[in-house]
Amino acid sequence: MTAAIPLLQYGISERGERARRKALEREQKLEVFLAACLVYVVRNAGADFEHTGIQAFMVRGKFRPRHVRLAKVRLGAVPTSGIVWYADKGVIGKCWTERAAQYEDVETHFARYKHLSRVDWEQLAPAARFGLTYEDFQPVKDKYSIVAAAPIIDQRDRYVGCVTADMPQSAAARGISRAAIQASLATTAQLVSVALES
Amino acid sequence: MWKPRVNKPPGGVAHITIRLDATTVNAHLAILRELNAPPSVIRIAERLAEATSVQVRGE
Repeated sequence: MTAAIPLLQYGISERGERARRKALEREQKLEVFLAACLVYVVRNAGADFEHTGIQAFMVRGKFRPRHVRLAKVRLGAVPTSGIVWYADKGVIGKCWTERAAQYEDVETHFARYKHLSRVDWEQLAPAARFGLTYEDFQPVKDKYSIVAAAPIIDQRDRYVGCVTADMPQSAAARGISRAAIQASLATTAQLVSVALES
Repeated sequence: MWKPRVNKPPGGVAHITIRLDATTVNAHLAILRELNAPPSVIRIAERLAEATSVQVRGE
C-alpha cells in the first residue's frame, strides 16, 4: 500500500504534465494562425503593426460560462482590462449571443458616454453600454478604437469561442478596411476551429 | 472515456458556417508558409483552402 503512493503521485504528476504540454502545443499552434491574421490585416486592411491585437477566446465554465483567452498576438504592450467577459459583455459577448461576426467602432460609440456619471451610465440601455458596468467601462473607455470578432463554431454547430482584432485609439485606426479584417477573422476562426478539434 | 462520434467530411475540415473567400484563405496559407509554420498548421490551412475552392467551384 505504502509503495503504491509514490507510483500514484508519479502517475498524477505525469498526467498533469502531459495536459500542460498539450495545452502549450495548442497555444503555439493558435499563435501561428493569429500571427498570420495580424500579417494579413496589416498588409490588406491598413492596420497598425505595433498596436493591433489578435486574440482567440474560448468559452469556459459550466455554471457561469465566460470567454477565456487562449492565445494572443500583439507586438506592443497593452495592459489587460481585468474584465471577466461573460456572454452579455462587450463586442465579444455580442458575437457570442448573436453567433455572428461583429465590427464596432467603439471609440465613436463611447465618445458621447465618456463623461457620464455612474448614475447616468446605469440609466443607459444594456446594448448601448455593451453590457459593461460603470467599473468595467473606466479602463476601456479610452482603450479601443475598432473591435471586431468572428465566432468559432465547432463541427456540432456550437459556439465555442471567437477570434478578435482590436486596435487602440489612433488616427490610423480610422482608415482601415472593414471587409479585409472581417474576411481575415472569419478565415482565422475556421482555422482555429479545425486546430482545436484535430 | 466514451465520446460521441462526430461526422467529419473528407479531409477532416468542419463544415463552413461562415462564408469564406478563397482568396483570403489562400493569402493566409501563403503567409503561414512565409512564417515557416509547422507542417501540421500548414496542413490545416491547405485543407481549408481546398475545401473553400471546392465550395467556390461548386457554386
